[in-house]
Amino acid sequence: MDKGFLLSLYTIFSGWALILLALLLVKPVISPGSGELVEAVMYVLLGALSITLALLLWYESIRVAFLRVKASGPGGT
Amino acid sequence: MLEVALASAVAMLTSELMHRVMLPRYVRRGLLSEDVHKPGKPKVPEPLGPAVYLPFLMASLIHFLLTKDGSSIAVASSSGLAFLIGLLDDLSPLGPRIKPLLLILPALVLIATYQITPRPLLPILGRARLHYVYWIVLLALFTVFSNAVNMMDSLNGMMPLSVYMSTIPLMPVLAKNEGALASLLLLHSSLLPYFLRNRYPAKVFGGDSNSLFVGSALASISAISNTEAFFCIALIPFLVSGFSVITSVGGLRERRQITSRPVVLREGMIRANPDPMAPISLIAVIASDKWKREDEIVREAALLSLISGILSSLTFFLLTPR
Repeated sequence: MDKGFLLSLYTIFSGWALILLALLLVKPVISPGSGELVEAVMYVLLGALSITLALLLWYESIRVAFLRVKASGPGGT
Repeated sequence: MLEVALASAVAMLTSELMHRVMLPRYVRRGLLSEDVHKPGKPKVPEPLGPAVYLPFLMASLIHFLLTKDGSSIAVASSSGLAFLIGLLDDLSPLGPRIKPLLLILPALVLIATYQITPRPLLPILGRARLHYVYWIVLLALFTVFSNAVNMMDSLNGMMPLSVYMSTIPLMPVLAKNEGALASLLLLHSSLLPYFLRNRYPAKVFGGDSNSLFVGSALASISAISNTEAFFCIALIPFLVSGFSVITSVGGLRERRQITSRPVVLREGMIRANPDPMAPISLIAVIASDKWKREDEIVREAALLSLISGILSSLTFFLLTPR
């Protein structure tokens, strides 16, 4: 198992954790049984903000690890 | 279940027959594309999307006639529009911004042909009521799934094999929704003759008509069964690939507009482009450490898809209140 495959495994598991984390973050905003517009707007804003931030952090972690693995590999063309 | 087995057999046989009829005609008419990852760049018939979608449509009609369950017709109708958009793109490339917008339309077809309930089942949260938000998410889901499957269709057999690997573990998740499960089985059956010819070394290419149809069909199946989140988890390798490419090139771009390629080739071997500014794709991540053969990368991508599919199924059974 090489570093490239391990890195791709990391992207899968961290992507999964990201989805669960985003759902945990929006959980307090959704109260069962209510469907009010204000609540829905709050849900969208908080959900979008948390998901965007988490996505950016996640992508950056993959990019940094990817560049490091690529640089340590066996040369270019 | 007998009805599904019969419709699946029709899908598989019709697709096999259509491949046999269409392939010599494509060669005669010069409908060929270069396989750019192979030495000598051999030419391969493309697009074989009609040989996958039309059998799926026929099998969905048979399933509807036998069961009177309209869900398979709704899936076939919405993904049919994605197939037509893909065919249009195969004949005359659509712009990088127009295509994602057009791929919202199949969602509208699904809403028009099926009584969608805006109550998706979510991990941790359980059954959510998203009366306002759901429709926006549904539109996005169609364009994201279609484009993600399209971007995964870059190496021999990679897209169909990864679709099989990520969605087979989802079958227990769909067990309580017979219509959605039937549509997934019909999709698997109509894809099989294509996969056997598209695997390494490829003798056919599906084109956008095939990949956009498959992506849209998966979005439709997830929507009619309210299992959108579980399909998202199962398709993480597809989403990672699409998201990374779009983010690293700074937005939506047509393939020929991306000057630095994510990977470089040498005598049939593939490796991530050493240029630090090169876009990041799933293939580049897999081949970031060393030179790999095309079939080796496809196998690893399929393994990642299988892991995602199992992870999704486990999330459904262990982390989802019902």
